[in-house]
Amino acid sequence: MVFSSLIFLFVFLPIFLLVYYIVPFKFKNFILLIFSLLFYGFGEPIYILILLFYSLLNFICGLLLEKINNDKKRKICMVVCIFINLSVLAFFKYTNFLIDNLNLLGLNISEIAIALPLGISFFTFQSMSYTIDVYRKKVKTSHNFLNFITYVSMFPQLVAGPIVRYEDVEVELKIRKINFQKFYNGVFRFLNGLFKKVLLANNLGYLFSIITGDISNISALSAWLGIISFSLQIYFDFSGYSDMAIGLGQMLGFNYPENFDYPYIVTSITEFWRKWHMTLSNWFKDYVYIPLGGNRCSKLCNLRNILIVWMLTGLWHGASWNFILWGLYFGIILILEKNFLKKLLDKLPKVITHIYALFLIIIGWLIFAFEDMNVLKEYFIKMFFNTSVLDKEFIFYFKNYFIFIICGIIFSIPVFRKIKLNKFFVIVVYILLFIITIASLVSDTYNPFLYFRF
Amino acid sequence: MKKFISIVVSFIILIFLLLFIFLPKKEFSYNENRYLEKFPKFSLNGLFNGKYTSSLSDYVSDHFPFREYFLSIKSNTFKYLGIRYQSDIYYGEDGYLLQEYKKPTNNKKIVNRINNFSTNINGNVHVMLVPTSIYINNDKLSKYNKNYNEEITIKYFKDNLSVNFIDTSSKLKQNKNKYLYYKTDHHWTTYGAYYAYLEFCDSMNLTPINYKFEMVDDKFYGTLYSKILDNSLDYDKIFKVVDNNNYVVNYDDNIEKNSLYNDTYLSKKDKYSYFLDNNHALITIENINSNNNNNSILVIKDSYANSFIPLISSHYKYIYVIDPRYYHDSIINYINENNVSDVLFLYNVLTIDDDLGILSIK
Repeated sequence: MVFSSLIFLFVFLPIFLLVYYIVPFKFKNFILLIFSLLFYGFGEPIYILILLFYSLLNFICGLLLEKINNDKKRKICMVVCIFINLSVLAFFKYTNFLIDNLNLLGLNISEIAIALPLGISFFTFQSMSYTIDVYRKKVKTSHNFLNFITYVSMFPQLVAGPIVRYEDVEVELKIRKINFQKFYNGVFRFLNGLFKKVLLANNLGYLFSIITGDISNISALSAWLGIISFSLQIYFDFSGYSDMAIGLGQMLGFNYPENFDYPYIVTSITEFWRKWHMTLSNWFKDYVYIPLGGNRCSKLCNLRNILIVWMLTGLWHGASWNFILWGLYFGIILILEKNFLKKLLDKLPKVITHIYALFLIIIGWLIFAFEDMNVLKEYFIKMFFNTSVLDKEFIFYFKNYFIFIICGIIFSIPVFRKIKLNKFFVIVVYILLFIITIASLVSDTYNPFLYFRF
Repeated sequence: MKKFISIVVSFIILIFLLLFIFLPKKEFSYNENRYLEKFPKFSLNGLFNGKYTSSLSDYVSDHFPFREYFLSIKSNTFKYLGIRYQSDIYYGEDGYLLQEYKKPTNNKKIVNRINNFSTNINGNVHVMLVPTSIYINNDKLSKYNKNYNEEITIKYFKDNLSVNFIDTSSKLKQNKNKYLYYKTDHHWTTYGAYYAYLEFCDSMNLTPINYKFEMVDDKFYGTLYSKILDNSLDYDKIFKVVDNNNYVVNYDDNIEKNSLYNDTYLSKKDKYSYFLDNNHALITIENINSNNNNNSILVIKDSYANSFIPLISSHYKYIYVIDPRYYHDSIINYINENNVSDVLFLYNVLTIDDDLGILSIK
């Protein structure tokens, strides 16, 4: 089930919230758990078992880490647990990637027919963070299995983040305040995310798909428009989903960490990665970069650490070489900025550095968007070495979809920190946007047949 | 402010949930021309292969309260935001909706199939591949579009078919201002069919009849309207030609009528089905008033032919109409068994590429 669907908004969510608010506090986690499993099982019934497996695995490991006193044995226990977690993730996500690459080397193995459980990259990392934090004695072992499964499977952030650490919800799992003010804030936050996803991301995504439908003859401007719409789409899609997750969390009494902080107004790539998918970069920093030595070892060692972390970040995003390339691309830029580029950038005017950052971010999305290297190459050529700069198709795209581009740009900027709007105006706008959102969701399911099928 | 918004939104959601649960559910959607999803029966098998839950989702969507009003809201909102291209349809001038033509992928396969098919037939084979509104009425289309040129496809067919190709493009273009295509439907009007008929007669050495046209309906909203549901659009009018011949028409061997038209469709939504009663695998038309028993034609076609055949029925004793999407027997055998002298392929450029029948004619 997805948040931006009629069945979630009008059936699942209202029924869930009614039951959740009515039952006494001691049953709230149970209700949340049941509905979360229903939510996840709606799309993937068999994969509920994976959620249960991860919960059991890491819960038991947490108990063992508490019982065992020997430092060496504790470390082995944690490593084995993490290894099992990662093996399950690798099995589902990277087996065929591995097979394809072995085949390139000459072997002839057939791919296995396996479907990727939705959100597995998120909840695997979420579960592992608990075990590592217990090992580090940063959080206390959980003795309440019900609360623990609820932590792993809570539906707001289960499928698309933010990656929530146990310490973010430990207190609230045991006792949390649910009041009207939190509810109103939660609904408002949820609506922000819903509008970003349905009104902006979906339409920008559609624009990207029609521009890239057939790239053999596109003009340079069309190619640029395409990748800009992709850049905007992915931001509104991802941050929209995070907004909805955080908003839902607030409605339930939880405080999830933020995941995006206007990443497109930055003036360096270093700054970009402090504002984009923050829970993931923090995860890699705390659980991979720092254990490897971070920047507290030799220059060469630090270089190695950065490259490893970014290669893994790329790989986390997808089982394909272009994602690894994307990760390394940023890793290298970050190394350059850290070592001398940043000093140079600090001397330049903000306008220049902003353009510098946006340019590199967009090129990054280019690598991210095309898994097929040949298509990537061709698109790159069309952007930079194209004899055709402007054509009627470009004007067509721009004329029809400029409103989404303009709104996309405006809402990437924190305009509402400076501008205060009239409250009545905002109320009317939000309600109208909600109605148009429903209309868009309905329209997506509208499916006329030219010929009556019998 | 957040309080007010939250309360209103929550209220809207609760109201719609109640309406969804308690409002009676429709079975068939006239605008979508399909049956709406029924509440699925539970089965463990269905649950684990995902069919049960996707059916539940579809059930909620299909029966969402005021569904068609919401579609209308979306189309109109987008229209007012300056988006003149929705659901693969361009908003043209004078209330014309123009369905987009996308680059075809099956030209070669189709031409080869027709060529191979034709070598097995004793009679003459003719192909009439007809352009659609977006090509003929291109003056109504914004010059900024991403439409593919139908002329390229027509030229390909003309150059690569080994049989007679009847090119209707110039005749249609010359008369484009005579309401040759519906504004809200993807078909041509009886006038469009008429000018193609003139070209047909020219190619077959027939003397064209100067038909009188009679309006049978003036409130037609067609297939393109159905995708958008914009009620500010002008209605289309449906015409028939006046023909005093008598016919015996067999629809799929079990319904015998004396008319090429089905009036009951004029009081429904899908009015174009008035012509030749919608879709049938095989229709046989016998012209009682014709004396020449050897004069027959077999038409392999899509729905454009439905409004064309009443124009040629006066010229033949027997007309056999086959829709290969539904007719799965050997057409070649049928042609030979019935001693058909001429075979006509009549298709429009837009739907031939995706047509499920033409690639398996035998």
